[in-house]
Amino acid sequence: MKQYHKVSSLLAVFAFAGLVFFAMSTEAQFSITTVEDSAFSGKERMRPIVSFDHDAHMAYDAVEDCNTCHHMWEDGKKMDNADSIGMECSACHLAEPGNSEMNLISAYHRLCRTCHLNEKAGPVLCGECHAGEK
Amino acid sequence: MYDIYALARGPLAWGAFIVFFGGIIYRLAAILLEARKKDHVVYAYFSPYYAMRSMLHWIVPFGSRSMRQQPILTTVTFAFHICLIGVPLFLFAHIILFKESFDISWWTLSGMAAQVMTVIVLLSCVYFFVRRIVQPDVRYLSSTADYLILLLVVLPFATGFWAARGWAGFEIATLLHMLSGELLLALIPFTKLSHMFFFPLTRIYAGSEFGAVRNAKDW
Amino acid sequence: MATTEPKANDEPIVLDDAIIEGAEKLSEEDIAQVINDMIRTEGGARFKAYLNTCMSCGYCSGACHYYLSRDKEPRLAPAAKVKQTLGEFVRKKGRVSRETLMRSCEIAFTDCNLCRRCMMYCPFGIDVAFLMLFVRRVCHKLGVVPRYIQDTAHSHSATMNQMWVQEDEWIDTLQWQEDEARDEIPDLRIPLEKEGADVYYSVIGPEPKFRAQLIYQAAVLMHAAGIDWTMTEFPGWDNSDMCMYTGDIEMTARLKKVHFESALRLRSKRIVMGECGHAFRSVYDVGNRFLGWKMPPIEVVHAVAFYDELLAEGRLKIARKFERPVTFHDPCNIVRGQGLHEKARSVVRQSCETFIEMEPNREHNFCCCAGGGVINCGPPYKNKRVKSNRVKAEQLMAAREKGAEVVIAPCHNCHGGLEDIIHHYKIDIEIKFLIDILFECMEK
Repeated sequence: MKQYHKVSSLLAVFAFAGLVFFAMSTEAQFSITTVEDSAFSGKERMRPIVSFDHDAHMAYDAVEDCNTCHHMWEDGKKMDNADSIGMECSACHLAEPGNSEMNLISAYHRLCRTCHLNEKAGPVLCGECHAGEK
Repeated sequence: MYDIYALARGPLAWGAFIVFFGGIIYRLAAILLEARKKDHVVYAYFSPYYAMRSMLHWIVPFGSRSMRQQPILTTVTFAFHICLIGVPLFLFAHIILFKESFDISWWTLSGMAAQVMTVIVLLSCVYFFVRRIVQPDVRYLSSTADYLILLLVVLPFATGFWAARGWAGFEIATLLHMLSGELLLALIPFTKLSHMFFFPLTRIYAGSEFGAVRNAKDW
Repeated sequence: MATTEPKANDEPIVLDDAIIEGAEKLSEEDIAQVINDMIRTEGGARFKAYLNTCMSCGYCSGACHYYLSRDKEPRLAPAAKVKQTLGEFVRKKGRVSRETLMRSCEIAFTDCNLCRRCMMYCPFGIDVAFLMLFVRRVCHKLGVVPRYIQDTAHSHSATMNQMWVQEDEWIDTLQWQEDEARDEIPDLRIPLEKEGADVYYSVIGPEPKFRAQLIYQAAVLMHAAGIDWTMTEFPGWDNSDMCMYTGDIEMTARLKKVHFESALRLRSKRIVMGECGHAFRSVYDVGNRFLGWKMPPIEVVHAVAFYDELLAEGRLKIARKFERPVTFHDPCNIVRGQGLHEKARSVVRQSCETFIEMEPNREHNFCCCAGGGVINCGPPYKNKRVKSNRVKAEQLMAAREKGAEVVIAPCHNCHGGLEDIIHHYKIDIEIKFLIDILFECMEK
């Protein structure tokens, strides 16, 4: 019996810890404030990190679906019903052999700027995103 | 602003590069063909060895007596030209644009180096400007065009520096930077800045004549 | 001579009456037509590249003896001379006033010796001499040329020599020199019209006219070295060419043709010419080009190279070296013109006890301010010519202070120019040709 209690209380602790961890991680996802990718960590930055309020950005009309940004491509076509939520951008954009961080940076730039130019809204100039300290 | 940006990033950039490269090719071809017709000596006495010898002495800092006689001017001139060509060609922010448009990239300068070099370009321009006004012979030689091309060079570097530092009004500075840079590129082949590609020609001719025919040094 | 508007250093402008007379006959339309025709037909790639490339940086200023001697007067910087002349021609599309034309004429003819020193100081190697010659050619076509040099050009076209020397006078002078020399060397000859000789010897017009002893000395040298040589009694004996400097390139071509052809007619192996700079330029890289020869059709050897060769071969021996310390003036046309500076030094070292270098020297030597036809523009410009070469005087004085008592200048124009400078600045130095030294020191 004592054994059982020990195990169950241990499980409860784990479950709680897991819950807290899950809550924290989802909390983190919903209050994203910068554009970050593990591919950039530990590298010297050429320009200041880009500020990005994920929640606020989702509120814009132009952002129809999650996969507007979190897209998934197959055979050279963007798929309507798939997304890449939960994946790091570098998971795909650095995956091809020969691809470098340059490609990842280009992907970010292209994604943001193309939309902003089409919508005539949001930043397009270098210093508008890369502002502040590094 | 979006329209100006789109214009400067797209058609104007294309235009500037086409005019720049097209202009250089056109002017070089025109002058080489004209030399065929009217300046036979240029081809007749062309000597690769002596041309290179002369070029080397004039492209290495203080390689000629003339350069040694004016040490300050020579130092500034070389620093200026190295930075003038180096910064635009190896600036990270420029390379990323090439990467996006043509999927090509190459070695880049660190941000600090680029900023220091830009300051060198700007200070050199100040020196050139002051020298043009203060030194009597250079002042006499200077025409409006000489001052205008100095301005033409200052504009993209000053606005570029401003934009990179993110100082107040950097949005306008960035747009002006793009536009003035494109203007500079497009005007190089058709102004005195054409010395960029005429320099090798005149040097090759002088070196060949002096070395191969006249058996003398030209530095 | 008319004296009008102030000029560089507030010196009154001295305009040659021939320049004024020539300009008075012209309308602005005439001037524009000739300038534009010239630019269209002869303003080629070099012309355009030079005018487009000049960044007006001022590197050339310090190269010019006019600029340096006249207190760095900005208008005398090489690039400034181009700006005031061709710069105006191009900017105004040929429609320049008579005054601009006259000023251009004066600048191109009397403010530039075409010595090409500035070409060595320009980062781009812009040939200002070439551009000044372009201006001179415009002036020539418009009939606006300083009187004295134009007279010389007339002499060239009428007699094929520079000094109105008649054929009988020429032969008489040679015979006279031969006669004199035979006092010293009984079997000496000055061979005339000898076919198949090794050496065809030619001189400049002023030698029979003013400096006949040079022919005497050359004859003694040829005799002592046992050279198989000849001169011609016909036109072609004069290798000089002032038409090259007035912009009359058609005449230049005729003169050089006569000179080359007389050597070829006599089937000589090569031409040796006396100690003259501009004549060498005209034969070596100007006249031959106008005639369509990349290099002269017959080998041309300047006296300096010839002496060096004779000494090296042991045909000419030095009996005793010249004792007084000497210095050497590098003439532009044989140093920047053919790199004879080391050969000249070799001759000087072999024939003189003490040799003192002038500073700067070799390719960087300062011009004599007489060449390029400037001394041939005559008395109206003599004072300016002397004033405009103070740096040469200072250079000579520095050599004098180091002990040089004699300056050797193997060029007629340099001689004339340096003589005037030595006299004006009262420098205690004597000027000699190289052959003066050799004549004194060789085994005869």
